[in-house]
Amino acid sequence: MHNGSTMRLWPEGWLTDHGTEGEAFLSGKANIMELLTLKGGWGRNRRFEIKDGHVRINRNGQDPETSLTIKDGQIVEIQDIEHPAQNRSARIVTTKAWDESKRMKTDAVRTIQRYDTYSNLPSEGAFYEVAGLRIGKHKGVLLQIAKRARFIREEFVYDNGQQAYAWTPYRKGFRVYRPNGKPWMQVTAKVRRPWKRAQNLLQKVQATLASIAGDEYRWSDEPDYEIGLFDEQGRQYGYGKIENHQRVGVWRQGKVKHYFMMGLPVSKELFYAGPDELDPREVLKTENTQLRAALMKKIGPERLLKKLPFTACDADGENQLLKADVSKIFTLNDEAMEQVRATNRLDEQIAIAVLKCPSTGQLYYLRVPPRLNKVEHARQWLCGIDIEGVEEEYIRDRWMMPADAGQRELSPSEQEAMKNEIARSKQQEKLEFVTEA
Amino acid sequence: MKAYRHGEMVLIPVPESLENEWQDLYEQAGQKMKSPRVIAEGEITGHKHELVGGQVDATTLNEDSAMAKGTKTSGYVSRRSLLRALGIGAIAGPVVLLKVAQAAALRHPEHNALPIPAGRYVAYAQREYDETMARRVVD
Repeated sequence: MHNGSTMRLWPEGWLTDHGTEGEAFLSGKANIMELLTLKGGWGRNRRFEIKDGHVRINRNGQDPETSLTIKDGQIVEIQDIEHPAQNRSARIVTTKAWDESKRMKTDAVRTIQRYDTYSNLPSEGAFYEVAGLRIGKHKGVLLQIAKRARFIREEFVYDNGQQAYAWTPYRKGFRVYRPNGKPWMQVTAKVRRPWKRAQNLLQKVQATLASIAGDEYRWSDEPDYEIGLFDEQGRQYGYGKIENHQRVGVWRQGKVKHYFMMGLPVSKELFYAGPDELDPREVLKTENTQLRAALMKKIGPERLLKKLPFTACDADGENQLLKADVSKIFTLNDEAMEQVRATNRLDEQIAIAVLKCPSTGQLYYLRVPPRLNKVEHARQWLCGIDIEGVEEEYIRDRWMMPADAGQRELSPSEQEAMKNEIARSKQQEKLEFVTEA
Repeated sequence: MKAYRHGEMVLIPVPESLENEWQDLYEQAGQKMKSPRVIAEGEITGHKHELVGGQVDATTLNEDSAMAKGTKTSGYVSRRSLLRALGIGAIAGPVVLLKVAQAAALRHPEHNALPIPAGRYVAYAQREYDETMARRVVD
């Protein structure tokens, strides 16, 4: 038992960073702290019981890099120091917190975690503190703060004492300020909870300031919000808009502009193309469904029905099943028409299911077999169910088609076969969507 | 038959009666995925349908003809036969065999998160009709 003393547990140079040669394993056990090495080398499986005191873990035999404070057998504070590499260009260090490792370019980073017991947050004050981080060129300290042993706030404070941002769970909107107190960035929605992802919020701020239309554009779970960037004089120099969870409109940062339609980056020409400049036939041929939906949205359902002779043969709320004769939609040569006849046995129609996405509220235009008669059947088919083999109406249609063409009745054996197929189809299940998003 | 839909992705829970076939395909024919938590990725945006939390593993059957030898049943089991047994028709594109050991959430930047309970699943993208064949829906 080592009480109230500072001790070195391993010989110099033995324990290297995060388990490349060895690893410290910490566990609280009945009021006694244990340190146990898991991998080979000196000290393997040796246990050191410490009730009160400090433990310093040397990784490279140089500076103390991890310091543990133990009280009544529980760790109450962990302090980690990540040192910069000797070579300036290689100053990328990995910081580890809450099971998440993030690589970031920075100077030495000091991380302090505090607990009342090994697993509980302190009742008041900063329980997680990282010094040496930056927003732009400005250094500061990241703090996660608890009240009544619950996480209530995350802050970034510049070294001059000015607060860059403060995140709280219920605050609508999020603002980042410059070191001189002027606004730098604004998000007009409740920003996602950064809890257990320390530095994630800061990295998002850094990424958005570097490129507003970059991969870190998604700030909130709310469907609609805006992001603004402001210069030293408080003038807006960057802007982006989210609608139905998707990027829309012109996203700009200085002179750089990005154009979005239903979340898709598109060219300036396509973005500004008027609805009458778009040919719905060409749009229907667009293979990417998202782009097809975005262009169709521009054309609009009314203009589509005006330009092409589609008729709605079934509707379920905003979902519709549209049909039209292929010959009236596409100009096909005889050979192509033959091919259509060969594959579409019932007729030469084109069928499109217009379905609303439950998450984004956008309408998608998806082609389905022209034999289908109902929106629900189209949904089932799109999800993989060969509905023509499950629903009685299609089985009857198929059996009756040759008979109708020849103006004759089904023979008794054909009728029997049809009945058997219908009976078999009753055992086949359709999809029942538990949840959709 | 119960199903989950997340954007263009469909997830079908595999019933107990088909677990052996699923397991044989998973172990023998399934190809390793770059990230088993990412079951699909947007063609233009790169947005991922990604499982977050829980305990998840997956392999993928890229070919319709993917086949495995039955370990607890006689003969062979194929991707086609497993889908047929589930009542699913021809699917274009890969079919992911997803093992959720501990409940996870399926996320995508544009869709609401979908809780996925523990179990075995087949996951695939919706299909779309074109004159000659069904093709995979791409976003």
